[in-house]
Amino acid sequence: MSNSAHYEVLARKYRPKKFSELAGQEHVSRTLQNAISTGRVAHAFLLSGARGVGKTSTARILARALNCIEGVSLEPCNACVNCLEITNGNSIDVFEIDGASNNGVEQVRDLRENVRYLPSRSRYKIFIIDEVHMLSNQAFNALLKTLEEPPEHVKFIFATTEPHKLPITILSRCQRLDFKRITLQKIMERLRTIADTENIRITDASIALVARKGDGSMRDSITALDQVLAFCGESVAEEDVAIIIGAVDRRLLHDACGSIFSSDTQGALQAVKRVDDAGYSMRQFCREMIEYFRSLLIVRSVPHPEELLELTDGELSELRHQVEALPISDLQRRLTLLVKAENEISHSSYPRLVMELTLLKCAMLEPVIPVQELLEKIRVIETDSVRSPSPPWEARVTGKAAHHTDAARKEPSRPICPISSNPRQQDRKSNADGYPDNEAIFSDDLSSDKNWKNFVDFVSSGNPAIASLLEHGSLVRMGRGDIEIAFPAGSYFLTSARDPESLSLIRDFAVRFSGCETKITIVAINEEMKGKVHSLAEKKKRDEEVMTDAFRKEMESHPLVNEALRLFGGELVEIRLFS
Amino acid sequence: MPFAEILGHDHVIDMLRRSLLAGRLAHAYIFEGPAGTGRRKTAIAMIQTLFCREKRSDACGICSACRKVAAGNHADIHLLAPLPDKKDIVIDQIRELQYLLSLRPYEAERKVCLVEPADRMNTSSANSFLKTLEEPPGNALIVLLTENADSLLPTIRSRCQLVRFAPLASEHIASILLKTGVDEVVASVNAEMSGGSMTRAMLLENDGVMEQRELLLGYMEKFDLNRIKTIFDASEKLSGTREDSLAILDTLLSFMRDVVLMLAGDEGITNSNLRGRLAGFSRKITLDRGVELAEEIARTRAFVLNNANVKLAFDALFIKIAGAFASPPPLGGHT
Repeated sequence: MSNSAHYEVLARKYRPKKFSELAGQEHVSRTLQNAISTGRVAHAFLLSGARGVGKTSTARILARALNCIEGVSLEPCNACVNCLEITNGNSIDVFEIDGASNNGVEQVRDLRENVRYLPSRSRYKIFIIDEVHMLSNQAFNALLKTLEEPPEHVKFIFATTEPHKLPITILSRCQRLDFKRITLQKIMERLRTIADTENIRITDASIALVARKGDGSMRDSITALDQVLAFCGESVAEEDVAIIIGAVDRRLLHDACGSIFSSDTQGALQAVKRVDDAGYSMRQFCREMIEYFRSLLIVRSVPHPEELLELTDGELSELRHQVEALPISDLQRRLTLLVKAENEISHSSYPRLVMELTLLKCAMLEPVIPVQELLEKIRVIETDSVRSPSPPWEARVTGKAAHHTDAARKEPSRPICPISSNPRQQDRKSNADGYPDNEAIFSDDLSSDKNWKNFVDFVSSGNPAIASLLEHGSLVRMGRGDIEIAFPAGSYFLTSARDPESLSLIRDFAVRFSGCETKITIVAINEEMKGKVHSLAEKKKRDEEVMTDAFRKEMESHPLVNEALRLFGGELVEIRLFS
Repeated sequence: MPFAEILGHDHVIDMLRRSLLAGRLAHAYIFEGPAGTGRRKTAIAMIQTLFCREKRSDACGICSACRKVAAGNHADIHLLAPLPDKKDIVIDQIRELQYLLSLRPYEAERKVCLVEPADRMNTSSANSFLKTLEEPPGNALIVLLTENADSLLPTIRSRCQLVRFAPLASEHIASILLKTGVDEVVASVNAEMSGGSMTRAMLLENDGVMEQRELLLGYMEKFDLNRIKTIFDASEKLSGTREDSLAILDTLLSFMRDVVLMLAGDEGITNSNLRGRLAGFSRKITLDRGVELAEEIARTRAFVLNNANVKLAFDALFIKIAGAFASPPPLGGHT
């Protein structure tokens, strides 16, 4: 047992020591090297980017390049005392500060005190503050003045994964270098170099698997490699790799998707069981399913998927074969279900159940009909409804639908649906046209009613206030040169109608309406008249009730509505008319 | 407890033992897995083997180092857990740990730190742990235990080797339960119900789970929308404390899962001793309705977890269940 030997994990052992070793961040190393060669090195840098892309390494390389005994150079020598001290973290002029642990204003005050003194034996005093986003607000503010105009011998290097947490005043005082995600190719090259140096036999396929695990982070990939080596030793077997890093077998994903597409519910459940038996985490499985569906979607949607997917030709043709003839919208819906499940799994105490239910839902999904197609169908039904025999449920509404269709022709953009048309509006419109369509349905026994209504409409065009007053009155008698109107006894309407001014106004309208001198009589409704006369306002209200009632009945018996109620398990709460 | 005494997790233990032998132990590990699957035991075994004077690939379990580790009073093991009166592991604890790790080990060759549960570190403490975790002073070994590695910062995850503990196989759980003197039928059902967690299996055992399931199934069979009393009676009787109610919902969920599995044509159900009665339910509904009901139960569980009124939640849920089983499956439905 060699416990005593200090084993340094690969990620630390193979930390880049030169700019040239910094994989995938050429834009950063070039910027810094140019700055060094032209002597334009800023006094404060902010290095930002995801985990494991080389921020801390860059900070250390830059510190060495600036303080190397060989002189400020494009690459540090990594051999002189200064370089070695910085690497070992015991240089007295380079301070690597853990910003998250030393995040208070006190520590910044100490730092400001320290800044004033010259470096003891190097060119620069360099402050590397890692995880700088965790400094407190006061700490940041206390740093501002020093950061803006530090003494000549001081350089600041900040590193963080979350630059958005820094105050804008700090950001504006630093030169910011953003680190990119590292491409799969670059990671694979680096892993290959490490494997060769360590004398490890590993296939390219395994390296690809390990590199993919890192998801753009070099450290994650190297950690995964370390884990594989811990299990396998010097020679790595391909089948071990997948198990160790927990990557789900592609075969399994393929089968699971196959079951889903063929609506094989049992197969879908079997897939979950296989995942569980193999000891994969459900979350991982869900994620890989999402990734797999994404690949399927891409293969289905674009002509050249190989440019977007990092897959081999064999895998691509397999995907192509599986996805042909599947509607894109179905893929998207299943993908949505899976994405929802991934979120649920992380909170759920039954990940397996969540996954089972999700796959079942995916398998049971009924194919969608595009809305455009539905609209097209409706349009066909609509134009055909006049000629062709309509289905039973349509027949019932045709009587009323006749003028709906009429209205629809005038406004073709509006969907044809009884619910969406406003009866009140139609009333007015059709009356204006001289075709009071609801006459037949809501007929009244008073013969002069129609004349009276026309008269009120006429008044309404000249004086709406008087017209609305008249609407509350009930017509008792209307003959040539003689109109008698009754109002509820003691009501406000009665008094305002008896007002000489409105009386003369009504008379003027009557003269203009009938063309002869007219006598207006205003009376109060007495016991005898009660129940026999109805004002227009009352009638309107009654009409509306009858109308709503009719609509309600119609809606309740409408097969579409009933089907919707059944599908969603709802109930009819309210019927509203939309204008 | 040496590695040899741990049930299951062969892969994990194999990997750790090989790393120990080859001296390739990383400085930071995340042990991820459901509670009660043996993460902590494995960590202890790893530390024992590391500290053991015998220097073999497994701990001897009898030398002073092994016994100290097992008893939890080894001077070089630092445990990091939320303080009794706090919810989180706070930054001051991390600072103290950083100081302790910077000291030389007392008796072992390196210091070890066990953080449990690691997901209880808050943002500041997790961030302040990063530098230590990447390059621990004095070659220390840090093990983070968590139920869900995704709840840790990505920057933390990237610095550690992730070791996943799968749920325990039900035969392992059943064998442990049998050893504690549990009835054979109960042991096998509880093992199935436990979802691979020993902790949960033990809890089930204590609850007198068989009677409770019998009671619940009895109520379910009597549900009748026309006699609303059957439903309210059930929720009156079954709703209890939050924990009891959650247990009821768990049982209900396992029933519904079985119904769904049977509808989907899968035979591997949990409550195999109740197969006949559950099949009765499965004949009354369609698969998609079953899936909906299972999700409804899971949702109710989440409500109860969030302190909803248990009785009301049960009322609503039971009415839905009664309704689903009352109406015959619509023709042309998916079966």
